[in-house]
Amino acid sequence: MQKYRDLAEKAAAGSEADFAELRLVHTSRTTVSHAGLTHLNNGPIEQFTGTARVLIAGRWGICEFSSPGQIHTALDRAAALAIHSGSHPAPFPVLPPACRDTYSDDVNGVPLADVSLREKSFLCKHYCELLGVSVSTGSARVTYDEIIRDRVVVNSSGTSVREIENLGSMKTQAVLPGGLVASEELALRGSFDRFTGREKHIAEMGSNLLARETTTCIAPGRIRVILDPELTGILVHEAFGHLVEADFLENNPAVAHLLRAGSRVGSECVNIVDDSLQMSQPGSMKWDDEGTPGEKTQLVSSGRIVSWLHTMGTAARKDARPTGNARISGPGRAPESRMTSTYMEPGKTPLEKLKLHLDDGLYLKGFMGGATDMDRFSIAVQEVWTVRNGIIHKPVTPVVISGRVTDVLGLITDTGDDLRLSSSLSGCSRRGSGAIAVTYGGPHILISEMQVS
Amino acid sequence: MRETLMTGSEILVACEKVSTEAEVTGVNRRYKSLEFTPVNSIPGSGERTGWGLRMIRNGKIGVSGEWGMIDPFRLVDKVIGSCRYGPAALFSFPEESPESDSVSTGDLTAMTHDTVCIYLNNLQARIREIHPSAALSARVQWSEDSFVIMNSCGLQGSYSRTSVSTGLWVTLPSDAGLLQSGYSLNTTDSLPVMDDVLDILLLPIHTEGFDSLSAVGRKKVVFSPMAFSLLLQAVRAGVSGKLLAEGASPLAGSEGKQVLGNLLTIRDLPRLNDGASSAPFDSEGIPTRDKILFDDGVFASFLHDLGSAAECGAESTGSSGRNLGEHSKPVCTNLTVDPSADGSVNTLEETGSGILVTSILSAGGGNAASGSFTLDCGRVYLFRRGEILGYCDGCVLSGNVYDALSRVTAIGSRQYRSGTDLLPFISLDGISVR
Repeated sequence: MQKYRDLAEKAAAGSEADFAELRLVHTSRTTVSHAGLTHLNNGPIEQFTGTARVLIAGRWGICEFSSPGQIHTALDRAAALAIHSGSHPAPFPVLPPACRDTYSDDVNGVPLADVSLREKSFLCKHYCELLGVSVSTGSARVTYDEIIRDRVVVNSSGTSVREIENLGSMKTQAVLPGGLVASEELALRGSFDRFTGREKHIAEMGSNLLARETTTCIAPGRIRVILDPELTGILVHEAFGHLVEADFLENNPAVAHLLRAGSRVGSECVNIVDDSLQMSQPGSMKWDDEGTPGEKTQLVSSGRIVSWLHTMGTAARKDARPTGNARISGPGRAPESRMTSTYMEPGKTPLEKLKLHLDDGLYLKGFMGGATDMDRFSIAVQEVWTVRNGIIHKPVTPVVISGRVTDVLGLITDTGDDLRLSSSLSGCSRRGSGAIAVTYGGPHILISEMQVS
Repeated sequence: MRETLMTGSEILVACEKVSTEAEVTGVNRRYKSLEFTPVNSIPGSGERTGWGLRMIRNGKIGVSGEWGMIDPFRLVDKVIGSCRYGPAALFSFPEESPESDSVSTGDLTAMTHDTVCIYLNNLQARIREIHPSAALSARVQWSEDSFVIMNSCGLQGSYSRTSVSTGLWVTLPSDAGLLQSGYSLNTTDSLPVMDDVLDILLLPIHTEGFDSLSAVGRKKVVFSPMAFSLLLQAVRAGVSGKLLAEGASPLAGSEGKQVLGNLLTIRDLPRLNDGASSAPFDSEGIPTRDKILFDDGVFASFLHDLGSAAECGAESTGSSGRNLGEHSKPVCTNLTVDPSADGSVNTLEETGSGILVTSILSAGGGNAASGSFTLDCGRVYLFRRGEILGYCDGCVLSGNVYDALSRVTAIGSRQYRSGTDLLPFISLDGISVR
């Protein structure tokens, strides 16, 4: 990749466009899955892609190419598209100081690529059998997904950065004959070691699923709840994070006005950040897809909006500065403002005390699925327990929680002291863009009223 | 194409001494695109080429693929590794070359960045006539795709087709919150008809000041084509011969039996003239053919690729599908549901009272093997005597898809595109709503 980076640097520096940018990405992806007696492995599938993006007289053009030999042609094509574009002129992007650097995951342990396909296959089979035994009549599936990505971003203002990412994920799922599901994803950036030695956890996952089998359901209504860190993270990501992506807001001025800096969106205990530099998490980026350094961006402080998530382009249009959130979901695409590692900052209350504050209500754990429909959200919860007098009482059937984001963030009355982050390799897609790796999380939180169906 | 065939042959030569049988697939896509928002539009273009290799070695199947720069020997090396842990090869690659032709004689010369931009500006203007504060975002990609397959048994085939992929999203601030609608559809050589797009795209957006109502219990539910397409996910999985081979298909033993309501005829049409998933042969080189999956609700037959056919003692139905470098599996192509001969388009009148589902936020709790579904619908609309009266937020539908589709009240009189499907509105009775 280094020689292609050199080529790209020369090509970008020699471009006569107002601004030229080249992204080169080499990806190797492997998937292994085991379910019952069925074992399947796909790949490794290798992909080299390049994207040239050019700005001329305020208009952008983009060209995708598939070999380093086409760099100059792609720059010319992108320039031609920019010249003939009928778009409104955009202001010149806000460029961060030029940077030339390389970052490779500091792997303490065995790098993902050094583990043989045989070992990965064996581990999936082993965990699948273990989970299958622990849920007896139920079924089990374990899927391992790995992406090794070498990413170079070069531009005509002198930036040239290269980041080598090792992303791995193991999804474990068990289903009982009645349809009750336990599902979790362990996604990380770095070494393979954390995927090993999970036997005890897997067995507990199975026995916990059996313990949750019940026909008792609760009547829909507005109920006091505690959300676990994963659900807090989902709430922050789905229900809030997408609303402060600047490219969405610049298309929706009325919403932008509601979410301007200083606006109240949550209670005093709500503090939300997007931290690109959580380097052990798949959502992290040392530099974003425009070469802007990653950073910790405070989005909400004491319930009030502080900042949005910006690319170089949205920053220019909104008189802001880029926050390192430009991400592309595939080659040939323009960068979008997207989240990286977004989480609610922890408070000071231990979980046991939160339960006492809850008194009677529901303890909700684990994410099954969900989406945001702008400021409304709907999240399927995996595990639901009733709480009586501050003590976990009994399981009930899975529920869906829903509501409007500002209502719910305003009803958070306390936050736990136990920050935990979760990640997904293909966890976030929005409005037709491809899936990207994201990290989300937070502490346990107490919500005084939540619509539960 | 000549260059493509040479690369394919080189890969096959590299496999000669290390495999019993080998098969190479190649894909080339040349595209143009436009990303459109109210503040700017960005034209794009590009080309990508990829190769997939599937090999039988020591009785096992291995796969791998490369996009961009290809090195035949590196690719073969990876497939050898994959063969060690691959599934047993229960079949041989076919010998007979399929008919090679162009599926669509689509002509994309009329489509330029300017014409697409004008179309989207006009669409935005039409939407703003109805909803002045609405914002339209879109991505349109139009491409010429070439496919090649060749194997060591002598099979060789190729075809090309054009496709236009359109993704549209509208957001609208309103007193009832921020409303959103999305619509993705695929055509072969032209932009979608604007009136049809508006019918579906604006369906979830009502600003008439309806009341918020409650919708709990067993209801008659009308699904829009987009929502219906998601409901059919379990059926797509259920008709797959792979699920049958794994002993997990809920349709096992149901061939020739009434499974769905007798108003429902579902077809898989890989030869559809303007079908975006049309192809003369599948990803294993087996000629495709149009098939009825459910005929007046009677289950006709499973879809098979070579692997599932071998396991089930059946013939391949030319239904193999796969991403480059992955294992084959039986898939639906252009899935269609026959519209009714008479009646209304959206079935609200025939249904009387119930709820209208215009979009589905997520289908997290479903189980393809059993057909059970849990659909988070976000906002649904309640109607009586065919007229919308109010809305309900946070609605969840649950049940079993085969059970639900056995209680069809009415089917709409015209089809709309949803992705590559052609589907009408459908009204189902007795769906659990909470």
